[in-house]
Amino acid sequence: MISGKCLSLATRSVIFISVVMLIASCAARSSHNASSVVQYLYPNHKERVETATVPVLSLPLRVGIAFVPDTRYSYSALYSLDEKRKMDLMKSISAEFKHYPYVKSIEIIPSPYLTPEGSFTNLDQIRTMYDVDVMVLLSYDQVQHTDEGLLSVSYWTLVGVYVFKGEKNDTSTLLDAAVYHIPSRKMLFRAPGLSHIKGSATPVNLNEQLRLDSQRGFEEAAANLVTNLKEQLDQFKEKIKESPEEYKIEHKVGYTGGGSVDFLTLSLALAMGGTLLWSGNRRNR
Amino acid sequence: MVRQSTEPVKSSVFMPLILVAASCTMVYLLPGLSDLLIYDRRAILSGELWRFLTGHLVHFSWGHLFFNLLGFVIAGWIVWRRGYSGFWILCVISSVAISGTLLLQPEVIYFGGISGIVNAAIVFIAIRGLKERGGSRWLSISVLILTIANSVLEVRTGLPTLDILSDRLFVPVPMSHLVGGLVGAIMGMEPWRLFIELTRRPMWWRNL
Repeated sequence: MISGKCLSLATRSVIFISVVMLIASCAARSSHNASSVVQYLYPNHKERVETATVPVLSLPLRVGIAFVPDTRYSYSALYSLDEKRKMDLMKSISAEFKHYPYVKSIEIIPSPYLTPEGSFTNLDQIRTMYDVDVMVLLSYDQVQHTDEGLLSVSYWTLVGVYVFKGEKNDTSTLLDAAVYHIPSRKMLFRAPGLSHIKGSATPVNLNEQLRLDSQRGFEEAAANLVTNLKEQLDQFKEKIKESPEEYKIEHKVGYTGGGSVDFLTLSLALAMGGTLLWSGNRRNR
Repeated sequence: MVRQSTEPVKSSVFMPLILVAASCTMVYLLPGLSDLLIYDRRAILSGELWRFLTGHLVHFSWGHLFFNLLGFVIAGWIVWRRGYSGFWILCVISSVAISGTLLLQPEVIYFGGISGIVNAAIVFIAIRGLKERGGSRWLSISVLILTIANSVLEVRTGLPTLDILSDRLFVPVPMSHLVGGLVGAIMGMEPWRLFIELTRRPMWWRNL
């Protein structure tokens, strides 16, 4: 039998370091911050779900953009998306779509105007207030994990807490845009924006680093979202052309005008060209 | 009578015609370019005057581009074949006239499409064709009558009479065709010849 007294200094040191490393590696934490379009629009499963009808898109569109309210199951959110950040993100996204000829205006709707689980009743109110037909509902899901790496051993020296970046951060962000036509209750298209950021920090500036990672995560996800939204918009335009029975297009006076050659003008040009060609050939003979 | 040879007349129309057609296609393929060139009422009023001319190079769909260019190339080819002069002056003047008229319509914020110029070219050819003999003359008369009737009907209804496009993503502006037709008619009468004629006779007013 081996007693504690019999253990050598070297063995005791090895056991001590192992325990410290084990404790350090176990010290992981995570935070989750999210909002959900489904929870906002369809909060109660027992209630009747709104049935979508054929959307009549009256061009140019007045579009609204808003973040849906945060969900209740967010936990230990170190960095929740504040109103200013939301407004900045919405501005950067909407700026990419303002120049389209079929978009008349994009209204940025502040979060207080969206009530939790407000559903289409709330969207109808926003439609009345802002005079918008189409709503871009933004939702997000951000998870941050923090693990302690090998460098966390240095924390026992106290100085290491300030110097060594032993905290490994992992931030995954999803920003989702669902474009809804309010009168018809129909989702026109949706697009996701993703980002994944890995970072490290000292325990002293861990929270600050997590906040920065969170911000960067949203910014990168927003940039990715814009690219994906443009792709989805192009696909949606093709879809309108391919299935006109599913989407109806109307034109409001006052945006993009165009001149297109009609069948008669083209026929007259062809007739004149054909006559010229025919008379030229006849003379050549 | 205008000379109508069996060989294509060497005129300065052909290469620029290809250039304009290629430009329209390029502008359509590069969306950033169309933003820069489209007739944009607010941008023009803030000094971006090139849009007066370049707006006509912008198209909104493949169908829009294809049919407009088809009309433009046929009209340009006829002008080239017949050796008519003044085609490019016609294009520039009709572009400016159409864009100028659009400025009087504040509800049209953006505009694109070369069809107004196509209309101008067709009327221009028809007016010049009136000087021809035989079948060409009668064809020119028919083209003129039908084009005028079509333009008037378009302006009255606000819609194309016999529309080709099924994927229209813009509001038709029939006024552009009417203005183009008017410019084509004036240019077809070769007003510069009248001016030259008059300047050759210093005391021309005595004959009035």
